[in-house]
Amino acid sequence: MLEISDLSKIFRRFSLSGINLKIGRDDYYVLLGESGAGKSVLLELIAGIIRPDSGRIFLGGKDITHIPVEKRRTGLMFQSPAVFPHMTVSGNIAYPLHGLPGRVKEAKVQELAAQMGITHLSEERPAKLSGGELQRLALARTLASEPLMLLLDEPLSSVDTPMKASLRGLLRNLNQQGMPVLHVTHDFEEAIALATHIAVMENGKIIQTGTPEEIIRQPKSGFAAGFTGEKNFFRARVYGMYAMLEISEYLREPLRIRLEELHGDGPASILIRSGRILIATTAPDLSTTNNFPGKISSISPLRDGYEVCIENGYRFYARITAESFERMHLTPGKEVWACFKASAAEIIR
Amino acid sequence: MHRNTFRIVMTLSGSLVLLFIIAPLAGILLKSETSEIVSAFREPEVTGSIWLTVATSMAATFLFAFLSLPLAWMLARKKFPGRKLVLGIIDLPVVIPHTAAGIALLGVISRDTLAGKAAANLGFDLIGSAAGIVLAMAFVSLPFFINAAREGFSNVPERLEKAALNLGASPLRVFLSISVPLAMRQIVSGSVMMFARGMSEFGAVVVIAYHPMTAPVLIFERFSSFGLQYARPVSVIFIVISVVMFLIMRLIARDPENARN
Repeated sequence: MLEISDLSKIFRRFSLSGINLKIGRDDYYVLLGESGAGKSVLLELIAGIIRPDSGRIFLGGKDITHIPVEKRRTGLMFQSPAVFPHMTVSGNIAYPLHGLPGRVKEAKVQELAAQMGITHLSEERPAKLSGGELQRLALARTLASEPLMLLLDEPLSSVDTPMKASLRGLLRNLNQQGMPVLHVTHDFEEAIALATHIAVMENGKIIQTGTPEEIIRQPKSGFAAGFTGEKNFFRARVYGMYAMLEISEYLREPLRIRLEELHGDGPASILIRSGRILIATTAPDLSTTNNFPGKISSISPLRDGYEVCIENGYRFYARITAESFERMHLTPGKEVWACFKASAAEIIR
Repeated sequence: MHRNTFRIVMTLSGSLVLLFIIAPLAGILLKSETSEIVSAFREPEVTGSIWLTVATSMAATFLFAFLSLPLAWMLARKKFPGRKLVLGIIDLPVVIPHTAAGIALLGVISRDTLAGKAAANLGFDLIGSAAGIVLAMAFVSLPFFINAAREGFSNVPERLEKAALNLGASPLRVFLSISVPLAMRQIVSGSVMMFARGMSEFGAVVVIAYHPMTAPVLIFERFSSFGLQYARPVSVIFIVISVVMFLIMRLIARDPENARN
């Protein structure tokens, strides 16, 4: 759908170079990186707001490198919602529908407002809307322009946490209905929750691309590894109060993790922070609800203790203090238990 | 310095300056007899000159404000070589003596110039005519408008214009539907300033057109030919009308709907 080859742009103090990216029709592609990595610049290059020094951009098979912004059909959404303050909510949605007959326009505006759940705000001015409502409005307006793909620049950063989940749901649905997405963020959890593919960006370069699992298991950058100090990341399917981890090649039955509360059935990612996994040398009589036996496969020293990997078909990494490490006489090959509370299993969707 | 002394010094100097502005205006109002003002108001020469002043200044404002909007936008948005020079040139009419501005303008619109001949072909004269007055007023008052409009455009968040382009709107449509409405407050207040400045212009206007007489020229003529006694009633009428017009336009310029986020 979108293909970028060897794109470069040099600014006075910063440059973007050798960008290659291929995004398919069904992809939800997340561009992950710290602020200042050049993510937003890349989006503006694709949208045509900035012109590249070299390289090419193809959208839907067409070379759009030198096409003016207004003819590209890239639905760009800004970090702080760029809604027009002098127009009502419906006026904003109708903006791209310029030239259509009144009745068609009205029907389309109503349909999009309903899809985004902002029908009740139709006649309001944007000044009265919350951050989440503004982004929904911006999304409705972008969809009205019938873009070939969505370019999202940190779209959830100005949104309250409770609204975030529903907006994520909206974005995921749009993608599943066939809208390719390139989503820029510095929020790792957001990336995991949404991405089918991730590209990690650092200093104006894409340094790694892959599925979320690949990025987490083998981070190529300090930035990605910074998040993935957390390695207990599993694909799973939630059934009621339990999550069945995706089957591993060594196990006949998937591991079942007890959850603290209902999250709604369906696929999800599970993160268990290594600091919340305890190690027991005997069958545990602990208040933890998730206790899994396994063998220590590796021990790595950390600045403030040790990271112990326990294998049982899955790998659980536990972070323990030097004191408890010595008390338990842990060595590779030793049979132990990995234990954690139901509340330690974080569901990321 | 003691806190109270400081406050007294500040208040006193402030009051002195205010008094300096108010005293002449109050004086002229108090010294004028109502009967004089009423009889001056009945003179066709006086009312005619006031209408001419208001109409020409309004025409200058509408015409040149409309023409200079694109320049104001370019100065706010685009970086181009010589931008600072252009900004300086725009301010020139404010710093040069207005009679000198009138003489300079005369050089381009008199009968033997290209503009003068073109106007003559269309059947009117730029010198000694309402059209000439419009040009003289516009020349000296345009900086007030351009600077205000430029400020207005600079305050419009650029991402709104980018968003509109991204939604498929042409640059012209973005300018008309996003940039201008969002800068409207400063555009209107710049127009008010330009209008007020144009109405009160004497120096440049008197060089281009002594006749037909605008109010400031009429006041000068009465003062120099007949003395203070005759100039005062016309001055009072013109001051009052100017203040009223200015207040009305300032009220129009106040637009709470235009608050941005």
